[in-house]
Amino acid sequence: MSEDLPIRVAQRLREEDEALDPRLERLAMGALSPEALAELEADAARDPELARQVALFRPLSSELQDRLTEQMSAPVAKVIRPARWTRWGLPIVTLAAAALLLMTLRGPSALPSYAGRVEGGDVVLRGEPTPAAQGRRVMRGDSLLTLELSPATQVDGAVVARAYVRTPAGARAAPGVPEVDPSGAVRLRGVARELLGVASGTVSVALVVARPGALPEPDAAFAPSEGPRLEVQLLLR
Amino acid sequence: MAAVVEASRGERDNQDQELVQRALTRDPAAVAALVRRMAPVVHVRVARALSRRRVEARGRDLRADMEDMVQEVFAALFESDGRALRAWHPERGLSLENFVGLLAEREVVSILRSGRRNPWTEDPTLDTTLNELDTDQQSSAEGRVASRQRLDQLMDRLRERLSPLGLHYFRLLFVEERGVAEVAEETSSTTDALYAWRSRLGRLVKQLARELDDEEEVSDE
Repeated sequence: MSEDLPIRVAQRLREEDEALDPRLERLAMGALSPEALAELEADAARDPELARQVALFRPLSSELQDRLTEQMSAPVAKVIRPARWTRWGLPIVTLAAAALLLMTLRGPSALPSYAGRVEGGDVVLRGEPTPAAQGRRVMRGDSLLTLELSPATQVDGAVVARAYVRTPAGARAAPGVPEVDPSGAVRLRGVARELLGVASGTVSVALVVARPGALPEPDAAFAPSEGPRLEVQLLLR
Repeated sequence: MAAVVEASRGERDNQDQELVQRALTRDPAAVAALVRRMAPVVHVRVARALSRRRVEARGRDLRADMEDMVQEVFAALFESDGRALRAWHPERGLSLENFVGLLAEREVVSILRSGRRNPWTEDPTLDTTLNELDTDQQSSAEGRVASRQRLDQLMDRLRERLSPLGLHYFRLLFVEERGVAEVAEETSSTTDALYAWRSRLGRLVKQLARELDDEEEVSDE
């Protein structure tokens, strides 16, 4: 074997990376805009190999993620590896029915505390990085942006979420629609300018979680409140 | 509740460590949050690995195989009281996503190398493909295919043999061709340690190549 073997292995890995359509990874992450998804599907209709890859990279179903959560939450000392795990219908249905009954009897309680997470762009902190210091993220408008709010404990009852933007022209609801997980966690993810409906410039973004019917008006979304709220300032370029 | 201020990388790592710890106690909300974060990461790594082997897997439903492997990866993350997840130390420079992603790559290679767990064990795979290529294509093309296959095999062996940190270093130093000083800064390591890693990784690739040669010789006999 030649001396340059590690370099050739690395080169092969680079070729592999480059051979994969970059849209596929974003498809799996649920980060393609409807327009980009339509374009990918149109391309796949003309290219059987791409069609096979699109089928492989389509986002995992929420049912599968629920099954994973169920299995990994099981209080067992050791995780057993079934040969094929994809057919667990009954336990899930039973659990869902039990949860529904519990909610009916007790009604929804107050929301727990939430932890926030932002992904995308570079953080520019001004002043001391104290908890009060607002980091401003600088990012390209076509970059991926993720905002998440995760509850400290399982949320009892339904929650809804909405994203808001505030520019010099005022505050309004953002076009991006957050996903709400059965656990009460909320995620807003996608191409920044499409999520926010802002092409460039400085914009404040607020992701708010509330009980149904209790979401704030756009102006109130940026005011201090009791409910879970994640606020971030972005400079889109 | 006051507004949540976005976290810096260090704060995020701390939050992720807390999330992992809570998930390993089987707290349903923490497990749900971890699955939601990691499932797309694992999905991408598994799908990429299967996509690389699509020629070997002709006719199979790769989507079903991918979903099964995603579940296998999560089982591996949580088994033995979460030993794999507990090995994540963000101060070594790997984010939780990258760490889990590299573990996923290793697990897929392990599954596909295992006769018992490999869903393709009973299928006609690589040998048939290469035989058809041998008869249909020119010798130079055969050489290129064989060379690519060998490099893929080597990369799989590396994925199996190395820790996530070692794989991360291989990608940074060899695949991305980044300088030792830059990688040292990014991973909070020292340049001496990184030079040692680069040398060790180079030697390991050659050692794995020799092992593959030896295995082929044994199987030919």
